Amino acid sequence: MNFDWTPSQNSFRQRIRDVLDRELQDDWPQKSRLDPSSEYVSRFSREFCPTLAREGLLIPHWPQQDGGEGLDPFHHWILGEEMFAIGEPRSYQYMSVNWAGPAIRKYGTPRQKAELLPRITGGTMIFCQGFSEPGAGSDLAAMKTKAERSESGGFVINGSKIWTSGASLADVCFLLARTGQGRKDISAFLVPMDTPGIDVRIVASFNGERSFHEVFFTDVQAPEDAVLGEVGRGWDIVMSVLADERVGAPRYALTMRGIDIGVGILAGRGQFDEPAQIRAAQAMAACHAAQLLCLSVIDDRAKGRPPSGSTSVARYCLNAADRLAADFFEEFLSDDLVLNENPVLAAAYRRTASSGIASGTAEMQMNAIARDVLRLPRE
Amino acid sequence: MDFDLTEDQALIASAVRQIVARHLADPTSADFVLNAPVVERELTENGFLGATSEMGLGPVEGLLIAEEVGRLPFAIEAATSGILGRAILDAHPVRRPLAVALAPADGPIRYLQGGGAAVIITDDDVRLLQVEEQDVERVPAVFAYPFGRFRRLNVDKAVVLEGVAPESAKQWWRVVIAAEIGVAGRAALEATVEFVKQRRQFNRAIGSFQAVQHRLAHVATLVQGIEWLTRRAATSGAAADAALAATMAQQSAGLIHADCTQFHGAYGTTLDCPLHFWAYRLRALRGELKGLSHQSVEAARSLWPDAVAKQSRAVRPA
Ligand SMILES: Cc1cc2nc3c(=O)[nH]c(=O)nc-3n(C[C@H](O)[C@H](O)[C@H](O)COP(=O)(O)OP(=O)(O)OC[C@H]3O[C@@H](n4cnc5c(N)ncnc54)[C@H](O)[C@@H]3O)c2cc1C
Repeated sequence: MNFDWTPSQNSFRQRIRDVLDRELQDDWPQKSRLDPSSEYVSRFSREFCPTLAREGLLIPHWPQQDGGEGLDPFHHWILGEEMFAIGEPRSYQYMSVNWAGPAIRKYGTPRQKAELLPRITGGTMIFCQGFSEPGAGSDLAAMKTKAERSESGGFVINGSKIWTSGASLADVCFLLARTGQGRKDISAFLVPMDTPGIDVRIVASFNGERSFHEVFFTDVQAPEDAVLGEVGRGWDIVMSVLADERVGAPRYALTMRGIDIGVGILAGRGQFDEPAQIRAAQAMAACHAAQLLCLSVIDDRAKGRPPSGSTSVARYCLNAADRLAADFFEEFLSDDLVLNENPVLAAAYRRTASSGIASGTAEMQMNAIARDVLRLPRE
Repeated sequence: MDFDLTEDQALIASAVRQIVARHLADPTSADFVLNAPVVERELTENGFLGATSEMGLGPVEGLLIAEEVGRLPFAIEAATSGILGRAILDAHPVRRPLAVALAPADGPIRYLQGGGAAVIITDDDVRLLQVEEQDVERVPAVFAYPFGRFRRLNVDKAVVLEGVAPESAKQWWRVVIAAEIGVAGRAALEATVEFVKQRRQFNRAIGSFQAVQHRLAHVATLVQGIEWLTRRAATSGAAADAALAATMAQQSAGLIHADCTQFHGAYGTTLDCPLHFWAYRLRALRGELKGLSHQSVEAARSLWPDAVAKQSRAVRPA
């Protein structure tokens, strides 16, 4: 057992920090508000990600033959921690490099690869994820959006997606649509967002400027080679690439930073008294637990072990830690939350509200823990 | 970063596990606190217990051993001597069980027994005391650990441990607390999972009800979190890690004990139900070393020393 970072991992983290120091101006927190869904950050990402690419920091975890550095999953995780803590300056390009790109690498046709991969590895390609629907949230397989074969070849897509992050900023939608009657007769499509028949509306939310959209598909024509992988295999594709994502975003990185900043604010005012110390430390302890649980999943992954119930444990703990952090913020920093002056504190606080919902709710994680870890009987 | 045990550590853990496995089903008595001299002797003869280790085992191995031994219903002191003892007592020959207390040590103390030893932490130093029968009286059991109390304690007679700071002793005590809560929590969870798979109501196993599943899933996440924080604290020897582990452990112990007891129904409140060995360890540990709030303040102090110092200056009277 060893819980230290290796010198190479430490220097990798330092390299990222150096680039962030250099590329992010002093006004970054104010201008970005640490909101990866804002127009500002999205525009920024189109300059910043090419820089990361030049520095070898955009896809360091990709294999060398695909343009990456072949670094292990710990390096990928360190990159995620540093980016998340500072407000994700890659905007939604983190999805491209984390799972959409790998999905295309694995399942894409030569044409799809030739067209899309250079834009991803060059840092100019934003995907949105068209999975959830009004009637299909946790029960994703209940989706209704349909892709039917058209007589002129290809598919015609009709239906609507919801909660789609960054849809109004994205170049391409990674879309799931039903291509048959069976519950899992679902296919994955790569659909350019400027295709006629796609209508995007922003849904105002507390999560961020363009965190949520409704996306309507009305007789959208998609050519045959808009399909990723085989027709009807969309479900498997998504499950396999999202399994690679495993624990997803290192949310605790921003939460811990928010707690640190909150402590600093209180100390500056002589208000970091014992009750505040107690709450802050308890939230921090939960963050550290979540961090270790995430890292244990990364360790498994680095050792080539198959995904296990530990992923759900880690995911659930991220949410539990966020709740304790929100308790601390709301009890001791409520004026600061109202005044909304500190962008890091505001962002950390804002994020705590969605961590039990985004990419699989807390209850779905608990269902998985009961099934895969505790092996409790089904109803 | 490597979450796997080293080969040696895995060997030790598995050797202890084998001994423990032979005795897991042993208890027949419905006593609150069970002694098991035979198991204790076997573990001792194999060099797994105690503060001094001929095999050169340190606090990390002490923790791994305590993680196994703590699954037994028997009260066998493994964590205090194996973790705190090995971390601070160095070459001092120490008897078991080892107790630890803050001076003046006038309350009930876990594992304080004649024939054993005690570490007493004063404001200025840390002392070691061999405890004689006449020094202590047994406190009747309310929790599932043996407790004793000093009839008379002359702290001056104890050997001062040179070079051991009170803070260091408290730090390792925190690791002990986290270790004991982690293993009692795991044992309580496992016992409860087994129980809810067997117990049927409304024609189905109660473990198939989602209301039950979710709360046990929550307990499982707490236990795993405590375990990793404790392992990190034992490995790093850092004060902040120990305080964070103890904070997480003491803040979770109440919920773990309450939900595990709850899902046993009325049976869970009886001495017949083995759950109490762990549930009533968890309860006992909640107040150790002054309890959760103190551990949390200590964690804050280690994490944000400047902010806490600034605060102390701000409130100091002129
Ligand atoms: C910040 C954010 C960004 C998002 N971005 C995207 C995106 O880019 N693309 C996309 O496709 N989606 C996105 N989502 C949607 C997200 O995937 C869904 O919100 C999530 O899957 C839950 O679905 P739902 O909101 O419909 O809730 P529901 O599924 O309706 O759940 C509501 C409540 O019921 C509970 N529940 C449901 N089923 C069960 C069950 N079987 N057992 C116990 N409890 C249950 C849930 O746990 C939850 O507490 C995003 C969500 C958030 C918060």
